[in-house]
Amino acid sequence: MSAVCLQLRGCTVEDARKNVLIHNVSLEIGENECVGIIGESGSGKTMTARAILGLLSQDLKLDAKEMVLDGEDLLAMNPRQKRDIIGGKIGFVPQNTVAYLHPLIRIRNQIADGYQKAGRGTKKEGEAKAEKLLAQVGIHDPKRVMNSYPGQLSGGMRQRVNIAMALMCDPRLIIADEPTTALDCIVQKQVTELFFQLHKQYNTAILMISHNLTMLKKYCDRIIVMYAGQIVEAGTTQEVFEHPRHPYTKALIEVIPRLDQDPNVPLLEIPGYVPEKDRGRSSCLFADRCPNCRPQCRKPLQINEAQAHFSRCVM
Amino acid sequence: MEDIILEGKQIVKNFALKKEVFWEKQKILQAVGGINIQLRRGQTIGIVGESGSGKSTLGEILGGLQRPTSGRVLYRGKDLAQMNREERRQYRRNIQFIFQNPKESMNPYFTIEKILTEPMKLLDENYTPDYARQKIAEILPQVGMEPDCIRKYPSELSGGQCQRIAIARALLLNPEIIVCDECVSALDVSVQAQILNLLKSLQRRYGTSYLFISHDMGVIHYMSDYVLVMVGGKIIEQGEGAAVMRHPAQAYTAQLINSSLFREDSICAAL
Repeated sequence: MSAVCLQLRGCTVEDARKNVLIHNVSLEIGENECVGIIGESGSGKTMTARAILGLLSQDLKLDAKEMVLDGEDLLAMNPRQKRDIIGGKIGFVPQNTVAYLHPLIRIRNQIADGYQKAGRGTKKEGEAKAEKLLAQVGIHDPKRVMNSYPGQLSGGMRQRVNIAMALMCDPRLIIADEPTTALDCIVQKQVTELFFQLHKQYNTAILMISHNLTMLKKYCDRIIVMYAGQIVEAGTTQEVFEHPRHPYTKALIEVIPRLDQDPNVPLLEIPGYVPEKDRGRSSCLFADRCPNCRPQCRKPLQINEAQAHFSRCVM
Repeated sequence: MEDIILEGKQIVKNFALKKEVFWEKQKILQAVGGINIQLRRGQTIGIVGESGSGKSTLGEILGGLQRPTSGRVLYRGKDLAQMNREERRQYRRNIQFIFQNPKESMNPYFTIEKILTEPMKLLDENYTPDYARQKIAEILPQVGMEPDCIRKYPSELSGGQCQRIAIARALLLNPEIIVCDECVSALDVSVQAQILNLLKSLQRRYGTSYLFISHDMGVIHYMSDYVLVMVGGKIIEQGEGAAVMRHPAQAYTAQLINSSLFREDSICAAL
């Protein structure tokens, strides 16, 4: 048994017009490890998750050097095998709880679909397991929830259903794409606590995508910072938060209003926008917005990919 | 007092719930239960609370979008319910909204120019097409938008850009009060900082008052002079912004602050 749960190397996604959406993304998630990805919208966080899950839309082209899940090479498989492996080993918790559950089908009739599809058991067994899991994710009356339509449940409840659904096949890895963004802060905390309680209980690895730095700081072992489709910094949570090396990470940490903030001092802004074009270039993508940009930033960067605390900055 | 521009007295709002069977007694949900609030010129009142606590309903009542079941809303000492047409127009002009989801608050078939012109047409007595064009050209750079975006449709803009347009729309009438209902929750952190800075600088320049509704304690702390904490339609705690945040008197407030910070002690020192 290898200690690496997911290994992704040199993953690039292009659209039909050859625009690079994410460029050369490499990440490694160990067993029982919790990794967080942060970045602005449009920085390619969700795209990375979708590339791993094989959920990219048809017109996008995925190119990767290596993609190994739990010892099995996903690149060498045909789509069908790949789907079986992914369905059984990865649980996915989406951001948009409304769009992910079928509005016209009772929870009972959709929660065990993946379970049956992965050949884990019959529908009856699936339902029994689902009820148990629903109770575990903090739903007091699983029977009622099982018989409800998604529209009858609140946002927090639906998110719990989604989490239970992701746990149905005892996944090795849970990919959670901004699982709490739509929830208010008390429910947000409950749901996050739940994730990490399950993480401890089942030894599942978690890939958590969020722009809530405070949350990732508390729960994750390692942090990956993405910007414009590239990983700009990666390291342990402590390293990234206490000694951020990339100016983008520093800015991200600065822009959030904190409770000790002096309300009379304006917040730090990151001027400009995330670049949409030419993301594959080897010079720094953040140069146009960077406060301490130097002439050498406009040239191709010489970055040592193997550093423990990775930073895509020459400073 | 002279400088109180908007006041709510004992505001109650009840909603009738749907009956399960027809002989059932009518059930009532009290969304807002007897709230008093006073907004001064140039002041920002922050309203926090979890979803369903009635913060948005309170904002909508004060902004005249809903009628209270009982209680009074006074604008410059005049009761909203007893205003004549002209006074009501003045009131409408002087109180503007910025909603949570900017795209849903715009007509997708209107160009940005039309979206921005519409309120001026209805409420601004100086309105002429040239005047509107000039005002729009003035306001767009202030909210950080290019002047040529007026020919675009809302769907062509990003969420952050749409929110800037929504702010521009609110500002075009030079309102005295802006109700910001979760206006940065849907935005990215970097855009959020820009919008908050923008709102603050506009307040300094024009003396606008804000009613700032949010569930993000960091944002509320940064924006507000005075904070109300709402649970189940009632105010459980209120006070100066910094005081409430530093030394919450109620356990619920402390819980709210802690859960938005994801830890038991304060995050401030570490982050």
